[in-house]
Amino acid sequence: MNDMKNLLEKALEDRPLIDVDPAADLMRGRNRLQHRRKVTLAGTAAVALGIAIIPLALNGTSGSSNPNQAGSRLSSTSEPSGPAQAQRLPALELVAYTGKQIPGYRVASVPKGWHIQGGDASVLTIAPKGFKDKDFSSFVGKIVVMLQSKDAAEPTEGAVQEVDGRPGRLDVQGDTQMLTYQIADKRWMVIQAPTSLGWDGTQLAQFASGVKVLDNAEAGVG
Amino acid sequence: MPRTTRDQEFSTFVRAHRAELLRSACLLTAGDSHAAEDLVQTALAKVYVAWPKVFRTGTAVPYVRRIIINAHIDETRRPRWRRERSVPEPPDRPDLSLSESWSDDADGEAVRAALASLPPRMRAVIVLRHWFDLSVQESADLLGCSQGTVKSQSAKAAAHLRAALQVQEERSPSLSIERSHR
Repeated sequence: MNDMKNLLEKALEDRPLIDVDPAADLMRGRNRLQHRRKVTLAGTAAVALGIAIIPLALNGTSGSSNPNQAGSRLSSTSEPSGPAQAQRLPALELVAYTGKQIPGYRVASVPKGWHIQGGDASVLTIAPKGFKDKDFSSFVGKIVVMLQSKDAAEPTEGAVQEVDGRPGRLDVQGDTQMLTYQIADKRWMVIQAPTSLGWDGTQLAQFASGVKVLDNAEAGVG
Repeated sequence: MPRTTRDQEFSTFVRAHRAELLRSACLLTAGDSHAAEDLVQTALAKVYVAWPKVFRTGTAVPYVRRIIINAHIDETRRPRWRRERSVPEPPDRPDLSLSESWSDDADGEAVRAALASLPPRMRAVIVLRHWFDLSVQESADLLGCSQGTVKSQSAKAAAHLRAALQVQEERSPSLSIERSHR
Protein backbone atom coordinates (compact mmCIF):
# COMPACT_ATOMS: atom_id res chain seq x y z
CA MET A 1 0.00 0.00 0.00
CA ASN A 2 1.33 3.39 -0.89
CA ASP A 3 1.33 5.53 2.29
CA MET A 4 1.77 8.71 0.33
CA LYS A 5 -1.18 7.89 -1.87
CA ASN A 6 -3.33 7.29 1.20
CA LEU A 7 -2.27 10.64 2.54
CA LEU A 8 -3.17 12.36 -0.74
CA GLU A 9 -6.53 10.61 -0.65
CA LYS A 10 -7.15 12.26 2.71
CA ALA A 11 -6.59 15.65 1.13
CA LEU A 12 -9.41 14.84 -1.27
CA GLU A 13 -11.78 13.13 1.13
CA ASP A 14 -14.33 15.94 0.88
CA ARG A 15 -13.97 16.17 -2.91
CA PRO A 16 -15.73 13.09 -4.23
CA LEU A 17 -15.93 12.13 -7.87
CA ILE A 18 -19.06 13.57 -9.40
CA ASP A 19 -20.77 13.34 -12.76
CA VAL A 20 -19.84 16.14 -15.10
CA ASP A 21 -21.55 17.88 -17.99
CA PRO A 22 -19.03 18.48 -20.77
CA ALA A 23 -21.02 21.31 -22.37
CA ALA A 24 -19.06 24.15 -20.80
CA ASP A 25 -15.70 22.57 -21.59
CA LEU A 26 -16.85 21.95 -25.13
CA MET A 27 -17.80 25.59 -25.55
CA ARG A 28 -14.50 26.79 -24.13
CA GLY A 29 -12.62 24.44 -26.45
CA ARG A 30 -14.50 25.68 -29.50
CA ASN A 31 -13.88 29.28 -28.55
CA ARG A 32 -10.20 28.64 -28.06
CA LEU A 33 -9.97 26.87 -31.41
CA GLN A 34 -11.66 29.74 -33.20
CA HIS A 35 -9.53 32.31 -31.43
CA ARG A 36 -6.34 30.41 -32.20
CA ARG A 37 -7.18 30.17 -35.86
CA LYS A 38 -7.86 33.88 -36.10
CA VAL A 39 -4.86 35.06 -34.13
CA THR A 40 -2.22 32.76 -35.56
CA LEU A 41 -3.33 33.46 -39.09
CA ALA A 42 -1.48 36.73 -39.02
CA GLY A 43 1.90 35.35 -37.97
CA THR A 44 2.40 32.74 -40.63
CA ALA A 45 0.88 34.94 -43.29
CA ALA A 46 3.50 37.54 -42.50
CA VAL A 47 6.26 34.92 -42.69
CA ALA A 48 4.95 33.54 -45.97
CA LEU A 49 4.70 37.01 -47.38
CA GLY A 50 8.17 37.86 -46.14
CA ILE A 51 9.56 34.93 -48.09
CA ALA A 52 7.87 36.26 -51.18
CA ILE A 53 9.12 39.79 -50.56
CA ILE A 54 12.84 38.96 -50.49
CA PRO A 55 13.31 37.94 -54.14
CA LEU A 56 10.87 40.62 -55.19
CA ALA A 57 12.84 43.28 -53.35
CA LEU A 58 16.09 41.94 -54.78
CA ASN A 59 14.67 42.22 -58.29
CA GLY A 60 13.60 45.76 -57.60
CA THR A 61 16.91 46.96 -56.23
CA SER A 62 19.18 45.16 -58.71
CA GLY A 63 17.20 46.16 -61.71
CA SER A 64 16.79 42.55 -62.79
CA SER A 65 14.36 42.11 -65.65
CA ASN A 66 13.69 38.40 -65.10
CA PRO A 67 9.88 38.13 -64.90
CA ASN A 68 9.84 34.42 -64.18
CA GLN A 69 11.11 34.63 -60.62
CA ALA A 70 9.10 35.42 -57.55
CA GLY A 71 7.59 38.41 -59.23
CA SER A 72 5.51 36.03 -61.28
CA ARG A 73 3.67 34.97 -58.12
CA LEU A 74 2.72 38.50 -57.40
CA SER A 75 1.01 40.27 -60.22
CA SER A 76 2.20 43.68 -61.29
CA THR A 77 -0.53 46.17 -60.75
CA SER A 78 -0.71 49.91 -60.63
CA GLU A 79 0.97 49.94 -57.23
CA PRO A 80 3.97 52.27 -57.11
CA SER A 81 7.42 50.71 -57.24
CA GLY A 82 10.42 51.58 -55.09
CA PRO A 83 10.54 51.88 -51.31
CA ALA A 84 6.78 52.21 -50.99
CA GLN A 85 6.42 48.70 -52.42
CA ALA A 86 7.87 47.16 -49.28
CA GLN A 87 5.15 48.79 -47.23
CA ARG A 88 2.24 47.87 -49.46
CA LEU A 89 2.60 44.95 -51.81
CA PRO A 90 0.60 44.60 -54.98
CA ALA A 91 -2.47 42.47 -54.58
CA LEU A 92 -2.30 38.86 -55.66
CA GLU A 93 -4.03 38.39 -58.99
CA LEU A 94 -6.98 36.03 -59.26
CA VAL A 95 -6.63 33.32 -61.89
CA ALA A 96 -9.01 30.59 -63.01
CA TYR A 97 -8.66 27.40 -61.00
CA THR A 98 -8.55 24.15 -62.96
CA GLY A 99 -7.16 21.79 -60.34
CA LYS A 100 -8.82 19.24 -58.10
CA GLN A 101 -11.93 20.37 -56.24
CA ILE A 102 -13.10 19.32 -52.77
CA PRO A 103 -16.53 17.91 -51.86
CA GLY A 104 -18.68 20.65 -50.41
CA TYR A 105 -17.53 23.62 -52.49
CA ARG A 106 -16.50 24.61 -56.01
CA VAL A 107 -13.94 27.34 -56.44
CA ALA A 108 -13.74 29.19 -59.76
CA SER A 109 -10.58 31.19 -59.12
CA VAL A 110 -7.63 31.37 -56.75
CA PRO A 111 -4.75 33.80 -56.22
CA LYS A 112 -2.02 33.21 -58.79
CA GLY A 113 0.41 30.59 -57.49
CA TRP A 114 -2.10 29.23 -54.96
CA HIS A 115 -4.17 26.05 -55.02
CA ILE A 116 -6.78 24.21 -53.03
CA GLN A 117 -4.82 22.56 -50.28
CA GLY A 118 -7.58 20.39 -48.89
CA GLY A 119 -10.86 20.34 -47.06
CA ASP A 120 -13.98 18.42 -46.32
CA ALA A 121 -17.70 19.05 -46.29
CA SER A 122 -17.35 21.82 -43.73
CA VAL A 123 -14.22 23.73 -44.70
CA LEU A 124 -11.89 24.29 -47.62
CA THR A 125 -8.45 25.91 -47.47
CA ILE A 126 -6.44 27.53 -50.25
CA ALA A 127 -2.72 28.05 -49.80
CA PRO A 128 0.36 28.95 -51.82
CA LYS A 129 1.76 25.98 -53.75
CA GLY A 130 4.47 24.28 -51.70
CA PHE A 131 3.21 25.81 -48.46
CA LYS A 132 4.88 24.12 -45.51
CA ASP A 133 1.77 23.64 -43.41
CA LYS A 134 -0.14 20.91 -45.23
CA ASP A 135 -2.90 20.49 -42.67
CA PHE A 136 -6.08 21.82 -44.19
CA SER A 137 -7.64 22.30 -40.76
CA SER A 138 -4.88 24.76 -39.95
CA PHE A 139 -5.84 28.17 -41.33
CA VAL A 140 -2.71 30.18 -40.74
CA GLY A 141 -1.61 32.07 -43.85
CA LYS A 142 -4.40 30.61 -45.98
CA ILE A 143 -7.73 31.49 -47.48
CA VAL A 144 -10.51 29.66 -45.70
CA VAL A 145 -13.94 28.94 -47.18
CA MET A 146 -16.72 27.67 -44.95
CA LEU A 147 -20.38 27.98 -44.13
CA GLN A 148 -21.02 30.12 -41.12
CA SER A 149 -21.47 28.20 -37.89
CA LYS A 150 -25.04 27.14 -37.12
CA ASP A 151 -24.73 28.87 -33.77
CA ALA A 152 -23.48 32.18 -35.14
CA ALA A 153 -25.72 35.19 -35.53
CA GLU A 154 -26.14 37.42 -38.54
CA PRO A 155 -23.01 39.57 -38.89
CA THR A 156 -23.27 43.15 -37.69
CA GLU A 157 -19.60 44.06 -37.36
CA GLY A 158 -17.48 45.53 -40.13
CA ALA A 159 -18.11 47.42 -43.31
CA VAL A 160 -20.96 46.60 -45.66
CA GLN A 161 -19.65 44.51 -48.56
CA GLU A 162 -22.06 42.93 -50.99
CA VAL A 163 -21.26 39.81 -53.00
CA ASP A 164 -23.15 39.65 -56.28
CA GLY A 165 -25.82 41.87 -54.78
CA ARG A 166 -26.20 39.74 -51.67
CA PRO A 167 -25.73 41.42 -48.28
CA GLY A 168 -22.44 40.94 -46.52
CA ARG A 169 -19.98 42.40 -44.07
CA LEU A 170 -16.20 42.71 -44.21
CA ASP A 171 -14.67 42.57 -40.75
CA VAL A 172 -10.95 43.29 -40.49
CA GLN A 173 -9.23 42.40 -37.24
CA GLY A 174 -5.49 42.83 -37.15
CA ASP A 175 -4.02 40.95 -40.07
CA THR A 176 -7.12 38.91 -40.76
CA GLN A 177 -10.13 39.89 -42.80
CA MET A 178 -13.37 37.97 -42.81
CA LEU A 179 -16.08 38.42 -45.39
CA THR A 180 -19.45 37.04 -44.28
CA TYR A 181 -22.22 37.15 -46.87
CA GLN A 182 -25.66 35.70 -47.24
CA ILE A 183 -26.28 32.85 -49.67
CA ALA A 184 -29.82 31.92 -48.61
CA ASP A 185 -32.34 32.62 -45.89
CA LYS A 186 -30.51 32.22 -42.56
CA ARG A 187 -27.52 30.79 -44.40
CA TRP A 188 -24.28 32.71 -44.52
CA MET A 189 -20.91 32.05 -46.05
CA VAL A 190 -17.55 32.98 -44.55
CA ILE A 191 -14.37 33.72 -46.46
CA GLN A 192 -11.36 34.36 -44.26
CA ALA A 193 -8.13 35.68 -45.75
CA PRO A 194 -4.91 37.29 -44.54
CA THR A 195 -4.73 41.02 -45.20
CA SER A 196 -1.24 40.39 -46.55
CA LEU A 197 -2.94 39.23 -49.76
CA GLY A 198 -3.40 42.90 -50.45
CA TRP A 199 -7.08 42.42 -51.29
CA ASP A 200 -9.68 45.01 -50.53
CA GLY A 201 -13.35 44.19 -49.99
CA THR A 202 -14.13 44.29 -53.70
CA GLN A 203 -11.41 41.80 -54.58
CA LEU A 204 -12.44 39.50 -51.76
CA ALA A 205 -16.03 39.72 -52.99
CA GLN A 206 -14.80 38.91 -56.50
CA PHE A 207 -13.18 35.75 -55.18
CA ALA A 208 -16.31 34.94 -53.15
CA SER A 209 -18.54 35.26 -56.18
CA GLY A 210 -16.62 32.34 -57.73
CA VAL A 211 -17.31 30.06 -54.76
CA LYS A 212 -20.23 27.70 -55.13
CA VAL A 213 -21.68 25.86 -52.16
CA LEU A 214 -22.71 22.29 -52.99
CA ASP A 215 -25.55 20.37 -51.42
CA ASN A 216 -23.28 18.27 -49.25
CA ALA A 217 -21.59 21.26 -47.61
CA GLU A 218 -22.01 21.28 -43.85
CA ALA A 219 -22.01 24.17 -41.41
CA GLY A 220 -20.01 23.72 -38.24
CA VAL A 221 -21.22 24.47 -34.75
CA GLY A 222 -19.87 26.66 -32.02
CA MET B 1 -11.92 15.76 -38.94
CA PRO B 2 -15.52 16.98 -38.92
CA ARG B 3 -16.30 19.10 -35.90
CA THR B 4 -19.17 16.94 -34.81
CA THR B 5 -16.89 13.93 -34.48
CA ARG B 6 -14.38 15.96 -32.52
CA ASP B 7 -17.14 17.24 -30.23
CA GLN B 8 -18.50 13.77 -29.54
CA GLU B 9 -15.11 12.27 -28.80
CA PHE B 10 -14.09 15.21 -26.66
CA SER B 11 -17.35 15.10 -24.68
CA THR B 12 -16.86 11.41 -23.99
CA PHE B 13 -13.34 12.12 -22.81
CA VAL B 14 -14.49 14.91 -20.50
CA ARG B 15 -17.21 12.75 -18.96
CA ALA B 16 -14.72 9.97 -18.31
CA HIS B 17 -11.77 11.96 -16.98
CA ARG B 18 -12.76 15.44 -15.81
CA ALA B 19 -13.59 14.60 -12.23
CA GLU B 20 -10.33 12.77 -11.70
CA LEU B 21 -8.38 15.54 -13.40
CA LEU B 22 -9.98 18.03 -11.05
CA ARG B 23 -8.99 16.00 -8.03
CA SER B 24 -5.42 15.84 -9.28
CA ALA B 25 -5.43 19.57 -9.84
CA CYS B 26 -6.73 20.04 -6.29
CA LEU B 27 -3.66 18.24 -5.00
CA LEU B 28 -1.41 20.48 -7.06
CA THR B 29 -3.12 23.59 -5.73
CA ALA B 30 -3.16 22.19 -2.19
CA GLY B 31 -6.94 22.28 -2.00
CA ASP B 32 -7.60 25.58 -3.80
CA SER B 33 -10.62 24.38 -5.76
CA HIS B 34 -10.95 27.59 -7.78
CA ALA B 35 -7.36 27.46 -8.95
CA ALA B 36 -7.78 23.74 -9.68
CA GLU B 37 -10.88 24.43 -11.77
CA ASP B 38 -8.94 27.07 -13.71
CA LEU B 39 -6.17 24.59 -14.42
CA VAL B 40 -8.56 21.93 -15.65
CA GLN B 41 -10.59 24.33 -17.79
CA THR B 42 -7.46 25.66 -19.45
CA ALA B 43 -6.06 22.20 -20.02
CA LEU B 44 -9.28 20.82 -21.51
CA ALA B 45 -9.64 23.78 -23.85
CA LYS B 46 -6.11 23.15 -25.11
CA VAL B 47 -6.84 19.47 -25.52
CA TYR B 48 -9.87 20.32 -27.64
CA VAL B 49 -7.70 22.36 -29.99
CA ALA B 50 -5.19 19.53 -30.33
CA TRP B 51 -7.85 16.83 -30.32
CA PRO B 52 -7.30 15.26 -33.77
CA LYS B 53 -3.66 14.63 -32.94
CA VAL B 54 -4.01 13.49 -29.34
CA PHE B 55 -6.98 11.28 -30.13
CA ARG B 56 -5.23 9.64 -33.08
CA THR B 57 -2.16 8.91 -30.98
CA GLY B 58 -4.13 7.91 -27.89
CA THR B 59 -2.28 10.42 -25.74
CA ALA B 60 -5.12 12.58 -24.51
CA VAL B 61 -4.73 11.73 -20.82
CA PRO B 62 -0.92 12.20 -20.67
CA TYR B 63 -1.32 15.35 -22.74
CA VAL B 64 -3.85 16.94 -20.42
CA ARG B 65 -1.85 15.94 -17.36
CA ARG B 66 1.21 17.57 -18.83
CA ILE B 67 -0.71 20.77 -19.50
CA ILE B 68 -2.07 20.86 -15.97
CA ILE B 69 1.36 20.31 -14.42
CA ASN B 70 3.03 22.92 -16.62
CA ALA B 71 0.22 25.42 -16.12
CA HIS B 72 0.45 24.90 -12.36
CA ILE B 73 4.20 25.56 -12.33
CA ASP B 74 3.89 28.50 -14.74
CA GLU B 75 1.14 30.03 -12.66
CA THR B 76 3.23 29.98 -9.53
CA ARG B 77 6.11 31.68 -11.37
CA ARG B 78 4.03 34.80 -11.83
CA PRO B 79 5.03 37.85 -9.82
CA ARG B 80 1.99 37.78 -7.54
CA TRP B 81 3.11 34.40 -6.27
CA ARG B 82 6.64 35.62 -5.66
CA ARG B 83 5.62 38.50 -3.49
CA GLU B 84 6.00 38.11 0.24
CA ARG B 85 2.82 37.50 2.14
CA SER B 86 1.90 38.77 5.57
CA VAL B 87 1.09 36.16 8.20
CA PRO B 88 0.08 36.62 11.85
CA GLU B 89 3.17 34.85 13.12
CA PRO B 90 6.25 33.35 11.46
CA PRO B 91 5.87 29.66 10.64
CA ASP B 92 7.88 27.10 12.55
CA ARG B 93 10.66 25.49 10.61
CA PRO B 94 9.88 21.77 10.48
CA ASP B 95 12.61 19.31 11.29
CA LEU B 96 13.18 17.52 8.00
CA SER B 97 15.06 14.71 9.67
CA LEU B 98 11.86 13.23 11.08
CA SER B 99 11.04 9.95 9.45
CA GLU B 100 8.02 8.54 11.27
CA SER B 101 5.16 7.17 9.29
CA TRP B 102 2.14 9.33 8.48
CA SER B 103 -0.07 10.30 11.34
CA ASP B 104 -3.42 8.56 11.17
CA ASP B 105 -4.98 11.57 12.88
CA ALA B 106 -4.19 13.89 9.99
CA ASP B 107 -7.42 15.08 8.44
CA GLY B 108 -7.98 16.49 4.97
CA GLU B 109 -7.49 20.07 6.05
CA ALA B 110 -4.19 19.26 7.73
CA VAL B 111 -2.91 17.38 4.69
CA ARG B 112 -3.87 20.21 2.37
CA ALA B 113 -2.10 22.67 4.63
CA ALA B 114 0.98 20.47 4.60
CA LEU B 115 0.84 20.26 0.80
CA ALA B 116 0.54 24.03 0.62
CA SER B 117 3.79 24.36 2.53
CA LEU B 118 5.64 22.59 -0.30
CA PRO B 119 7.11 24.53 -3.22
CA PRO B 120 4.92 24.08 -6.33
CA ARG B 121 7.47 22.02 -8.22
CA MET B 122 7.97 19.69 -5.29
CA ARG B 123 4.20 19.27 -5.03
CA ALA B 124 4.15 18.41 -8.72
CA VAL B 125 6.74 15.68 -8.16
CA ILE B 126 4.60 14.19 -5.40
CA VAL B 127 1.52 14.17 -7.62
CA LEU B 128 3.35 12.68 -10.58
CA ARG B 129 5.07 9.94 -8.62
CA HIS B 130 2.41 9.01 -6.07
CA TRP B 131 -0.92 10.08 -7.55
CA PHE B 132 -0.37 9.44 -11.25
CA ASP B 133 1.99 6.54 -10.44
CA LEU B 134 4.47 7.67 -13.06
CA SER B 135 8.00 6.31 -13.01
CA VAL B 136 10.99 8.47 -12.14
CA GLN B 137 11.91 8.59 -15.83
CA GLU B 138 8.39 9.59 -16.90
CA SER B 139 8.21 12.26 -14.21
CA ALA B 140 11.59 13.64 -15.18
CA ASP B 141 10.57 13.79 -18.84
CA LEU B 142 7.37 15.60 -18.01
CA LEU B 143 9.07 18.13 -15.75
CA GLY B 144 12.07 18.56 -18.02
CA CYS B 145 14.62 17.70 -15.35
CA SER B 146 16.96 14.85 -14.47
CA GLN B 147 15.91 11.61 -12.78
CA GLY B 148 18.16 12.52 -9.87
CA THR B 149 16.25 15.74 -9.37
CA VAL B 150 12.96 13.87 -9.28
CA LYS B 151 14.31 11.43 -6.71
CA SER B 152 15.73 14.10 -4.45
CA GLN B 153 12.65 16.33 -4.74
CA SER B 154 10.39 13.38 -3.97
CA ALA B 155 12.40 12.44 -0.88
CA LYS B 156 12.53 16.03 0.37
CA ALA B 157 8.82 16.47 -0.20
CA ALA B 158 8.00 13.33 1.75
CA ALA B 159 10.19 14.42 4.66
CA HIS B 160 8.71 17.91 4.57
CA LEU B 161 5.15 16.58 4.62
CA ARG B 162 5.85 14.32 7.57
CA ALA B 163 7.39 17.15 9.51
CA ALA B 164 4.65 19.61 8.61
CA LEU B 165 1.94 17.21 9.72
CA GLN B 166 3.70 16.53 12.99
CA VAL B 167 4.04 20.26 13.68
CA GLN B 168 0.35 20.75 13.02
CA GLU B 169 -0.54 17.94 15.38
CA GLU B 170 1.62 19.38 18.12
CA ARG B 171 0.07 22.81 17.59
CA SER B 172 -3.50 21.66 18.03
CA PRO B 173 -3.54 18.97 20.74
CA SER B 174 -7.01 20.10 21.72
CA LEU B 175 -8.27 18.83 18.40
CA SER B 176 -6.83 15.40 19.07
CA ILE B 177 -8.37 15.36 22.53
CA GLU B 178 -11.73 16.42 21.19
CA ARG B 179 -11.57 13.68 18.59
CA SER B 180 -10.70 11.07 21.21
CA HIS B 181 -13.75 11.98 23.30
CA ARG B 182 -16.21 11.75 20.42
